[in-house]
Amino acid sequence: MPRALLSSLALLLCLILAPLTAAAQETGLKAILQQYQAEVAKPGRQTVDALIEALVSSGDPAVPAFLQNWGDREVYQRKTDGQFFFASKNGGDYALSDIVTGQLAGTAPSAEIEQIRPNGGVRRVISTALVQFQLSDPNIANRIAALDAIARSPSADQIEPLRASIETEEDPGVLARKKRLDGMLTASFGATPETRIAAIGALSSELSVDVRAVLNQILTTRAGVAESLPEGANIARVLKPGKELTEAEAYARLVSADLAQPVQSREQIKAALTANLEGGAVGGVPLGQLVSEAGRARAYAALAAEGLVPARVTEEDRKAALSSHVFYEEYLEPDAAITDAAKAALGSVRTRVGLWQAVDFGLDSLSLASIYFLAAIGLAITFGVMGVINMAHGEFIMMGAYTGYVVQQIIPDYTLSLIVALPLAFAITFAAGVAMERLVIRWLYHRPLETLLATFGISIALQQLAKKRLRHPGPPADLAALARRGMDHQRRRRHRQHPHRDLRAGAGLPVLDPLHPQQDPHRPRGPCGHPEPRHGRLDGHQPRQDQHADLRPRIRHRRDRRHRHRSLRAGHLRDGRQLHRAELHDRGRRRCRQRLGHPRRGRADRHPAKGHRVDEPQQYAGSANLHDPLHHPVHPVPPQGHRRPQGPRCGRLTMPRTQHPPVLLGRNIPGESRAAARGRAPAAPQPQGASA
Amino acid sequence: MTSFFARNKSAAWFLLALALFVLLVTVLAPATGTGFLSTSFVKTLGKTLCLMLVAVAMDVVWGYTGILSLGHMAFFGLGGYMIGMWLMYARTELIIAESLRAAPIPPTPEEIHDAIGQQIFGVVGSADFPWLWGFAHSFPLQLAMVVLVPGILALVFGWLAFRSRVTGVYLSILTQAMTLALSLYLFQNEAGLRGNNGLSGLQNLPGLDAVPQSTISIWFFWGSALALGLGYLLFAWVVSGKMGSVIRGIRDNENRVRFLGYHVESYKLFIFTLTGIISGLAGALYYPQAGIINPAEIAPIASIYLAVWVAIGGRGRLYGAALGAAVVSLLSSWFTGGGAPNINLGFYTINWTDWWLVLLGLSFVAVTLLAPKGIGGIFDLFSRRHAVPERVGDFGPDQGARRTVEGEEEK
Amino acid sequence: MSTLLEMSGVSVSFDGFKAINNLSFRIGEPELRAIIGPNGAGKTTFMDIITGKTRPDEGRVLWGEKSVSLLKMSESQIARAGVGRKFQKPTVFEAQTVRENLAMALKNKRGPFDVLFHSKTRAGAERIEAIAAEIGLSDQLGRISGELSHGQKQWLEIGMLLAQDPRLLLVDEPAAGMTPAEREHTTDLLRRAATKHAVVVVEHDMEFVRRLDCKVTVLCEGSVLAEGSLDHVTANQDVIDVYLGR
Repeated sequence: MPRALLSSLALLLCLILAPLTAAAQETGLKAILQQYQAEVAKPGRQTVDALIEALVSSGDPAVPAFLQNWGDREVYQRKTDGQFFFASKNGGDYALSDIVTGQLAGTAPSAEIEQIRPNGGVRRVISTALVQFQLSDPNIANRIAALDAIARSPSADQIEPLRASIETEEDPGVLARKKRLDGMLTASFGATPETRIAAIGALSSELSVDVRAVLNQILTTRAGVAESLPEGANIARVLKPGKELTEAEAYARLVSADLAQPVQSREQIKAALTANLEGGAVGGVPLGQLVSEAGRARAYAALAAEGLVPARVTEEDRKAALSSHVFYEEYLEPDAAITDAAKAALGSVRTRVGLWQAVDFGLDSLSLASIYFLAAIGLAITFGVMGVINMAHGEFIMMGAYTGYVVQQIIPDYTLSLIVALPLAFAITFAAGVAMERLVIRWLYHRPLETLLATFGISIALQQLAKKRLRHPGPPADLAALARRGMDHQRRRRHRQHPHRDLRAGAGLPVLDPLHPQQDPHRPRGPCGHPEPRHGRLDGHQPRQDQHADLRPRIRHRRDRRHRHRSLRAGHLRDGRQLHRAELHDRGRRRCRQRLGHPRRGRADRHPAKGHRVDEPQQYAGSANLHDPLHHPVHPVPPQGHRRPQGPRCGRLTMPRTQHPPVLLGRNIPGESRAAARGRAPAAPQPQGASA
Repeated sequence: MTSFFARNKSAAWFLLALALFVLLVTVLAPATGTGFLSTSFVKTLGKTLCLMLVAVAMDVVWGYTGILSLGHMAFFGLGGYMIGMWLMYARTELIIAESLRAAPIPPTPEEIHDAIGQQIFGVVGSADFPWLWGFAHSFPLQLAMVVLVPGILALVFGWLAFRSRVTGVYLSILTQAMTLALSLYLFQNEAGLRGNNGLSGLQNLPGLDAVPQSTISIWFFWGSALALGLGYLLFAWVVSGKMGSVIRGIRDNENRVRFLGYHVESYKLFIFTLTGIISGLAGALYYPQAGIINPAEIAPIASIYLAVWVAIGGRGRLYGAALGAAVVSLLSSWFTGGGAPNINLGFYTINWTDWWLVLLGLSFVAVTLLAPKGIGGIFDLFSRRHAVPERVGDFGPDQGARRTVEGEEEK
Repeated sequence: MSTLLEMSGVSVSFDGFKAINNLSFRIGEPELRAIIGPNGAGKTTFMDIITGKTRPDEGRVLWGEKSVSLLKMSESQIARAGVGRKFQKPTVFEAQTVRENLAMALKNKRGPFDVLFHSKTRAGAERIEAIAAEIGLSDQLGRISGELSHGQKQWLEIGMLLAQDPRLLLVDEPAAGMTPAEREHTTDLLRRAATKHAVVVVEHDMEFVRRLDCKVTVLCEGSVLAEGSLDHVTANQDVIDVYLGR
C-alpha cells in the first residue's frame, strides 16, 4: 500500500512538473536514463559510450551532478519501477532524492533498491566526461581542480572539452592556464603533425618544469641495436661503442637483443672447469696448470672442442660483433618533423632556464659574497692595522648569529626583531671584542703568532661554550623569513640539502681532536666527495621509515603536531624550534615527493576533488616517462659507477670497522648535532665541526 | 758520541727517561709483564710516542727554523696512508687466498688480484685498483713510499712556497690550504684511497692473526719508542751543530743570514722536507696502532693542534715539544675518555667531557700570556744557566726575533 | 788597482720617489772610500742595490775582473761572490754565542749539506780566535751575543764581516754608539782592511771620515754630488748648501 501511494505521489509530481520542464523532458536527463535504463544500471566499458554521449549532448544542468554521483556509486535504482535516485542511508531505510531536483522523494528499504556499481573502466570514462562539465563549472575551485586532473593524466580526448571551455572562461588566470594546458595537450596529442608542431613551437617560450616534461616525453627514445639502421625509423642518434657508450654496455645490449653470446666471465669459466674436473685434470690439462689464466684457457678450449661447454667468446668475436652492429636511439614518436621541433623547443627552453639559473646563482653568490666580505674585512683590518691574526673571528660571527636568533625567540615579529637584533649584535660583539683586546691581545702585540695561538684557544673555548649553552638554532633567521615570504621551492630544497652553506657558529673553524677521530660523527661522502644525502637512496629521498626519525620521539601527539602545522600554514610562526623543523623538514609534510609526481607515489590518494591540497606547480606527468627510470625528468638514474652500497659494513669484508661513519670540516648533520647539543647523542664529547 | 751528549745534556736525559719509561711500560704491559696496563692503554701510549715524534719535528721546523707550518699533520697522515695501503692489501690477500684455497681449482694470480680489488674498493663502488696502489703488494716498496710520498710532497710544496719567499703568517695559511686541499681530495672516492671510508683494519698485521693484540701493541710501543729515540737524536744532532746555528739565524733574522751568503731557501727546504719525512714515519707507526685512517685525520685542525702542543710544551727545545705533545694528548684522552671525575659544585656539575675543550682553550691563552716558554720552562729552574737565552721579542717569522727593535726600521 | 765594482746609470724609485737617480760609482781593489750625505740621500739604498736587496729599475752593476752583473744574482750569491755588509744597527744573532756568530760568518762552504756535516777544524777555531782578538771580544766568545753592549755588538758585526773574508766591505755607520777609543780602533781596523780589500764606509760623523783619510763621495738625492778628498768636497759650494741648508 505505501508503495502504491508513493508511486502515485511520484506520478503526481511528474504531472505537475511536466508542463514546466516540457522542453527538457524529451531530451532531459530522466528521459535519457529511462531510454538507457539497462545500460545505466549495468554499465559496461564497451557500451557505455553511447549513453555518455547522449548525456553530455543533452545539455541538462543536472547531468554533471548525476555523473559525479554515478561514478561515486551513489546512484540507486528502485527495483519496483526502475527509477533512479540518489540515496543516503537513513536508519534501516534509504532516503531517496530526485536526481534532477535533488528533492526528497521518499524512502525505501534497502531490499527495494539496488546500488549501481560502475566498474573501474566505466568510472574512468565517467570522470573524463565529467571534466568538461567541471571545466565550465561556475565554481572556480572546481575548474582549477579539473585542470589539475587533466595535467596529471593528460589524454587526447581532453583537448576538445578544454577548447570548448576556453571560449566561455571569464577568469583571466584560469583562462591562461587553460590555454597553456591546451597548448601542452596539442603538442602531445594534436590531430595533425602541423598542429602539433605549431603547439610545440609555442611551448618554446615557456620555462616551467611541466612544459619541459611534455617536450621530454615527445623526445623519449628507445635504445636499439641492429645490423643496420632500420628504414623509416626516427633515429635520435647513433651510438659508437667506445665513445657514446662503453664497449661493455654495447656488448650487453647485443646480448640482451640475442644478437651475441655473452662473454664468459672468469667465474663462469672457473665454474665450468670445476664442473668438468675429472681425476685431477680438466680436458686433459692437469690441475697444476690451472693456476694461470693461460692454462685455464687451454683447458676451457679443450672442453669446448669436446662440446661440453659453449665456445669461448674471444676478444676478436666481441670486437667483430660490435663492429658489425649499429647501436642507436630511436624516438618513440615516428614523425621526425615533430621530434625536430620538440628538440629545438627544448633547446630554447633549456637555454632560457640556464640563463635564469645563472641569474639565480649570481644573486645567490652575491649575497653570500657580501656576507663573507663583511666577515673578511674585519679580519683584514685586525691583521693589517693591528698585526693581530684573530682566529676567534668566526666566533664573533657566531655571537652575532646567536644574538639574532635569541632576539627572534623573544620578538616574533620578523622585521622588528631584525631592527632590534642589528644594534644588539653590534653591541654584544663590540663588548666581546673590547674584552678580548683588554684581557689578551693587549699583551701580545708584536707577537703575531702567539696572538694566533691565544685567539685560537679563545676560539675553541667559545665554540665549546656555545655548544654547551646554546642550542643549535637551525637555519639563520633571514632564510627562514625568506621561506615564509614565499622563497621558492628550489631554494628551500637546496637549503635543506646544504644547510652547512649557511653562516653559522664559526663556520670557518672546525674542531676535532686528532686523538679521537673515532668519536666524530662522520658524515658519509658521495663519490664526488660531497656530503651525501644521509639517507642515500638513489633518488635522493629518504626512505619513509627514516624520515623525521630524529624528530619522532619528540612528537608527543599527532593532534599537537597537526595543530602546529595549521598555525604554520597560516603564517604564524610560534617559536624557533618549529621554525627550524619547518624549514628543515618541509613543514612536516612530504610535499616534495607528491609535488614532483613521484613514480612511487600513488597519485590517487591525493585528489583535488576530495579536498586534498595539491600544490603548485603540478608536474606534468606523462604516462610512459615516469616509469622509464633512465629518463625520469626529476630523478634520472645515476650512472652505474656512482652506485654505492649503503650501511656501515656494506656486507663486504670481514674486517671489523672501528670507525663510525665519517665526517667533518664544519659540515654537520642538523639532526645529529642537535641531538648532540642536547646531550642526547651517546658520546660525542669531541665535536666534529664548528657549526654544530 | 760522548762529546755529542756532553754538549746536548738534554738529549741524554731525554733518552734516559725514554728508556726508563719503555722499561716501566714493558713491565706493566699485559703481554710482557704484570698486565697492570690494558692493551688499549699501551696502544694509547704507543700512539702518544708517535705524536711526540711529530711534535719534535714540528719544533724543529717552527721553534728552530721559524716556519710555522700548519700542515705537518698532512705528512703524518700520508705516512699512515702509505703503510695502511700495504697492511690492507697484504691482509686482504691472505684472507682471499684462504677463502679460495678451498676451491677445487687453485686460483690464478689475476683472480686473487681482482678479488682483492673487489674487497677493498667494493665499499666505494669500484673493483679496480687505482694506479696509486701499484706498490701496495710489496712491503719494502710501500715502506719506501712512506718516506718518499711525504718527502716529495714537502719538497715540491716547500720549493714552490720558499722560492716565492712566502713567509710568516702567509706561509702558515698556505700550509693550511695544502692540508685542507689534500684532505678534501682524499675524501673523493676517485682519489683511490677509499674516500671517506679511509683504510681500516690496520691493527691486524698480515700473517700475524695468531698473535694477540696485546703483543702487537707492545711491539708497536717499542717501535714507536725506538723511532722517537732515533728521531730525537737525529734532530738533536741537526740543531746542535752549525746547522742549528744557521737555522736559528734564519728564524731570528732571515735577511742577515742571506747576506752572510747562505741560501736561506734551500735550508728551509731541507728542514721542511726532513721534518716532513719524519712526520710521515711517525704516521706510519701511529696508524697501525689506531687501526683506521681516513681523510679527517689530515684536516687542518689536526695541524693546528700540533702547533698548540709545541707551544704548550715550549718552542725552541726539543724535549719541550715532546713533553707538550705527551701531556696535552694524554690529558685530552683522559678528560674526554671520561677518566676525569666530574666535579659537583652543588649548583652545577662540571662534566669534563664537555668542559675539557673550554679548559684547553683557556690554557692556550694562559700559556701564551703567562708562560711563553711553556712546560719546558720549568726545567730552566733546575739548570744553572738558561738553556735558551732570553729572547728579544718573539720567534715570529714575520720580522724575525727582533721585531720590536727592527720591525719599525725595516718598514 | 783594478776595478772591483762598477755601477753606472743606476736608478731606483719607490712609488714614484727616486731614491737613486742615475748614479754612477766605481771602486777598485784595494781602496777605502767614504760615502757621506744628508738623510735620505740614498746611502742605504745604494748598499741595498749592491747586496741585491733592492733591484734597480735601470742601470748596471758589474763585479770583479770578469765584469759579472750583480743584478742577476741572489743576495746569497752576491755575498758568496765576496760582498760583505755591516748594517746600520748591529744585527747579530742575539740568541747565539759570539763564537757561533763568528763561526756562521766564517768563510766556508754554504750549502745545507756542507753545513750539516760540517765539523769544527783547528784552522777554523784559530781564525775565530784571531778575529775575536782583533775585535777585542776574546773574553766574550762563550757569551750570548744578546747580552753584549751596543758597542760590542758593533764590533761583533765587524768581526763577522771580517770572518766572511769578502773582497768588498760595505760598512754602514760603524762608529755609531762607540767611545772615542773604540772609534780609533775601528778606524785602524778599516784602514788595515782597506790595504787588501775594497772598503766602502757610510758615515755621518765628519771627524770619523776625516780620520779615515780617504776619497769621499757625497751623495745627494740619489746621485753623486761631489767626489774627492774630504777637504775638496767640503769646499764644494753644493755640498755646503746641502749640508747647511740654503
